[in-house]
Amino acid sequence: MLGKGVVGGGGGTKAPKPSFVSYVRPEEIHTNEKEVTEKEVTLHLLPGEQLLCEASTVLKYVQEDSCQRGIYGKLVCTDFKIAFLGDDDSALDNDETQFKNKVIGENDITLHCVDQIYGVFDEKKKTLFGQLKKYPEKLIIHCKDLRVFHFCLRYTKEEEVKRIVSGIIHHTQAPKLLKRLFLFSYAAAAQNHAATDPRNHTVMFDTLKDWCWELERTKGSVKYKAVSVNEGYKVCERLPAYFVVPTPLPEEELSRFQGHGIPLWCWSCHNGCALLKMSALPKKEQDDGLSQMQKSFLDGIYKTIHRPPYEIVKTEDLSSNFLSLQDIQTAYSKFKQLFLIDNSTEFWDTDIKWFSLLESSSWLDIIRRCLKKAIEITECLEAQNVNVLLLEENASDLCCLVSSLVQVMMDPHCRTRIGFQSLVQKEWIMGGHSFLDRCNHLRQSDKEEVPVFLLFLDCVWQLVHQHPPAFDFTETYLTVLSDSLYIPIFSTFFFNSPHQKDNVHQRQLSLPLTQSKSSPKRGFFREETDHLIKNLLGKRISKLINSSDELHDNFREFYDSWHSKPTDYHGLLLPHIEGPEIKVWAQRYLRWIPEAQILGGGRAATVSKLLEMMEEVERLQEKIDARPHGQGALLAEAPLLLRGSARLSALFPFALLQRHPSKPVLPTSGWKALGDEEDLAKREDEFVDLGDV
Amino acid sequence: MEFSDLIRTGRAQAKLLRGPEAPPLRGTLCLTGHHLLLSPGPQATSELWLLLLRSVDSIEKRVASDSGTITLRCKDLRVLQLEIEGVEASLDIARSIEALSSLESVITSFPFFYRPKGLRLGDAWHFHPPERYYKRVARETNAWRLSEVNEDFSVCPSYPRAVIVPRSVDDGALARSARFRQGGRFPVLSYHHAPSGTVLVRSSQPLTGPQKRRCAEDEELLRAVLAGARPGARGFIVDTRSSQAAKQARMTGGGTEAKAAYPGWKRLHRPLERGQPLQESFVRLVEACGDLQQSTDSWLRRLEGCCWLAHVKEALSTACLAAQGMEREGACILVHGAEGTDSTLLVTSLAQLILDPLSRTMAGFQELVEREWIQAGHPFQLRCAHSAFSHARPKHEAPTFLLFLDCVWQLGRQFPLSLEFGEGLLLALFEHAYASPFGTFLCNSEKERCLCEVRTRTHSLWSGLNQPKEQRKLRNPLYAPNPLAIWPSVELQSLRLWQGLFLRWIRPPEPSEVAWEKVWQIVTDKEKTKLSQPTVSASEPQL
Repeated sequence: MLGKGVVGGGGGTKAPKPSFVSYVRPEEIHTNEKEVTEKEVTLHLLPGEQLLCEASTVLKYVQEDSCQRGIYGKLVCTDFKIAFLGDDDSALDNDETQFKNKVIGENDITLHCVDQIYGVFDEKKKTLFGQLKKYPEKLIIHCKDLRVFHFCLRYTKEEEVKRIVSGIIHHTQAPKLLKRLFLFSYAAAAQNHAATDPRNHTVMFDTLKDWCWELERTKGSVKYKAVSVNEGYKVCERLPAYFVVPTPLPEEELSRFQGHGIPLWCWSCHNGCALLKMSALPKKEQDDGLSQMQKSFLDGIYKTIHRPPYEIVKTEDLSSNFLSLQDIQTAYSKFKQLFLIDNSTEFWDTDIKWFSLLESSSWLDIIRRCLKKAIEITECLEAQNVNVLLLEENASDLCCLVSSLVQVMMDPHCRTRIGFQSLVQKEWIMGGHSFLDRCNHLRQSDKEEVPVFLLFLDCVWQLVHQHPPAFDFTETYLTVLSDSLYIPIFSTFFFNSPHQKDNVHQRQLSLPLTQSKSSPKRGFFREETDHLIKNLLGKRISKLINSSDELHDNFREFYDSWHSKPTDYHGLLLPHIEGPEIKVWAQRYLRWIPEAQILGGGRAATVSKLLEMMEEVERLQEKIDARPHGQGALLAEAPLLLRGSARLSALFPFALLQRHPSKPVLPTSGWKALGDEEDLAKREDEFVDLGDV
Repeated sequence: MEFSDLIRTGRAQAKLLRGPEAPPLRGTLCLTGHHLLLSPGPQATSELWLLLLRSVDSIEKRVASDSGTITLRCKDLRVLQLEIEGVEASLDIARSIEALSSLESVITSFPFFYRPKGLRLGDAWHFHPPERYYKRVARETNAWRLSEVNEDFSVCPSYPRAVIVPRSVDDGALARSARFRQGGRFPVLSYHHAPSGTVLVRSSQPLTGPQKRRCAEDEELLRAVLAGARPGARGFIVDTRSSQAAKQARMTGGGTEAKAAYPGWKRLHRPLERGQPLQESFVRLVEACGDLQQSTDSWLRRLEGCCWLAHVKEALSTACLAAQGMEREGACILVHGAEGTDSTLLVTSLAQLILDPLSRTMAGFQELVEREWIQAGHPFQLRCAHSAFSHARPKHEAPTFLLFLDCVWQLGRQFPLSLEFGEGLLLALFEHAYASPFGTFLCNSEKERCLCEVRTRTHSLWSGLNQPKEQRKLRNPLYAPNPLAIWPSVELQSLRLWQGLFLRWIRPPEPSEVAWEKVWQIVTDKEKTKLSQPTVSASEPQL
């Protein structure tokens, strides 16, 4: 917005009179004000962070009130982030930003968060990669958290443009070595880790004790035992050092196929039924002897777990009857395009077809199928008293997803913050989900990049959204968690397996040049395993397929009967999976789109109001309890957490892009109105006063 | 005509199925002139079940060897099933319900017989006349006056007796302007926005016709509107038709204001769906919601296909445009489409809700509905004759009022603290607009209501709703007065299907309703603790 832009950037220059025309090219406003806006802003560096290159007089476009303005500043690239140092940064230090991210500022993009980089050459947008012959006049960065940045380089010195553009492209797009992750420089520089509060202790599952504790908690210790056979990763680099298997399973069996074909315990239900997972046996070249061996081995395993006390075990093959990773990847890449919007015009164009675009991405349908699968498994465990064995090629993608979803639904402990974190630690980190590959942190293969963990968080979000009182955490927690996938300060989401993590630490960060590939993941080609599984488990699978009608009826009955009863938030929790009930996680996906913001409204308003009221009730109650007959003087206002909710955006605490009370409304050129800023500010203050009375 | 002529069998044994949630009800079924009753018998614990026949939208009958099944689809979107003993009895009852539910006579309708305890006739009827709103306007500006030019409804049959017009225009000029506007709906004041001094005015289309006729008095009236705001003020005419449709209307005698004839006014076209396409959109949406149990696959595509949310978006964004024009541009706004009784009212009433904090209170919203819909001549009887289930060919039906309620619901969802009323009030208004024991939504205009003596012979919905026992269901426990305008996000991404209405009878109540109950508890707790603190309770406003 014209008036606002100058007030923000110029600091004291008289704002031009508001005019009816508000699509003004930002450079037209700013070029003659350069001298006013030049002010040094210091770059904030983390311990171990190094500045790599920088460029000054870069213009950052800001989408506001459906029109663009620009802020001059410096664009820098460090070994941790790309940062824009705007000249009106001082304006950020008001109370609205009290909930800002402490590591990543509003204009910071971690290198791992960069998704795509585009350059604009003569009004044409092209993807940038590799060596450039020509440098763009505008840089567009799409981030994995769905922010979109526009940097205009037209006023930047040519030398600097070259340096910054090639620097950014190199550091975000080129394949990297694990040891070059910022994680390690940070860990080396920031020595003192904050001591963990024992009360807020997340179980890490990196000791035998942790697994025993989990067995005790779920009363699974009768039939299952924790084993330390993989200590030092002697058996298998894919599995954690400690894990849990059925008690009668002989320990020497475990090492036969490097941990493949072993039923690993995930969780025990209150009725004694357990959720198990198993990675399929690796397919070798046509060697009859070997596959014969595999067959007899598997038969032995099945005999063990089919004997009492295990009763019936149902096998759920996730790599053939369910989603493929390819499906997830395709769906998400279509889905995210709906939110990576370059400008308002584009936004309004997609808005018309919003629902059909959403549907054709089939992301919501994938969420529905995951939730449905989890309900089916829950039904087996809860209603049919049957053990369930999840089967997948490496047992580290959909196995993690489904087994942790089942646990969130069935185990109220997993719905507390600590319980949820422990669950992520158990199923995803120790379960060997390859975060490094799935997030493509090293930029080694785009093909491997699949947002499985994000899909899990989105499924959990559906549950949180449908049953907020059942959870100890809010959607904001999930959103922040999803962001932390791309912040290389916390090591949690930056390794493919616990072995890889421990190995790096032991060798004190000096890794060999070729990274040891513990388990060559052969992507999404399910045919490889398909064949084998059908051969080995042919009988069982055909049984499963035949009974699918019956299965459907069981599912329907279980689902309907649960939903017809009042919800016990401390018990079994099932999501609704009908069409209208699966929603878009607005806080995560829509948070940066100014058109979708509601100022002074939305959930944030309700929550802050409720907090305020609960505090007040408590305070008054205390007052009464303290002085039953007193002539209590008027109470002094206690400091409230979120004062003045009218100022908050519905997407609080994220939507910082826009922080003044006038709301853009319509894409009507010539109607992009300008309010009288002074007047608005005055009125807003009046309101805040009113709220304090 | 006697009701008894239409009732052949008045009594039978039956079983009632009320959807998957409620248990079936068994007992004696009775048919009266206005109701269907099911008395569960003396030993049963549940009470009498009662259905207003007027609320039956469509009826389907099926017979077996010794019983019949009647499916009743109601105007509030409920689906009921009655299993009746005896083939003859069930056919008779079905026929009677069909006949009684479609009676067109107003004065034999139930509101004329409804005499609830605790209410007195005529209580709330003088609750919200235009005179009352004029008092408020007169405090804010001197440029407008209350005219009784329509005292006997001869100038405009669909306007109330009194309307607010520019002070400088006399009644004679008003009458001549009325002859230049379709249905006599000359421009009248809808809302005065005190902070900017601008006004929202509504009318019907001018009758320019193919000869491009003009009317000096009409031009003078619009000039006076601008002059009343401030010297040199500008105005926008928001036409709710596309510019092409407006041009075409000229062939049938209508048209739109010529630029040259109305200096200072600029025309904007914002086409809003109306009439039959809107009704079809409603029908398709209800169908899609009814099919949920069968398939969940292409839900989003069906939702898009029925276009309902697109209509919500268009209505809200046009209202925002009008509101923005007043607040940000300091311009006066005239809204009209063709007749000026449907989409026009949708836009003017929503714009007020966005701008005016008073209209977001319980009393203010009721006044808004009364002033901008009922008294402004929205033909409720024609528009709400049938809901989404009717097999009859729609003639004048259109869910414009429902669209308004949906837009209000979206506003309430986006600004959960800013409306004093909750979803309950909107649901109640929807139900009562289609079938009601109260007289408020009867007839098409004030004129007809006077002829039928609705005011003296029926009860007002407002007095029914404002009884203390009803209030809890209707209020928003989180309400905090917000003096600012509330600018909604109108993108489809931000809009939601109103599940509380469209899926109300299909799925169990949302868990959020349980949460809502908890919120009520906290709010009541807060009040209790406040009341036990004398110093604080004195300053606490009445909730």
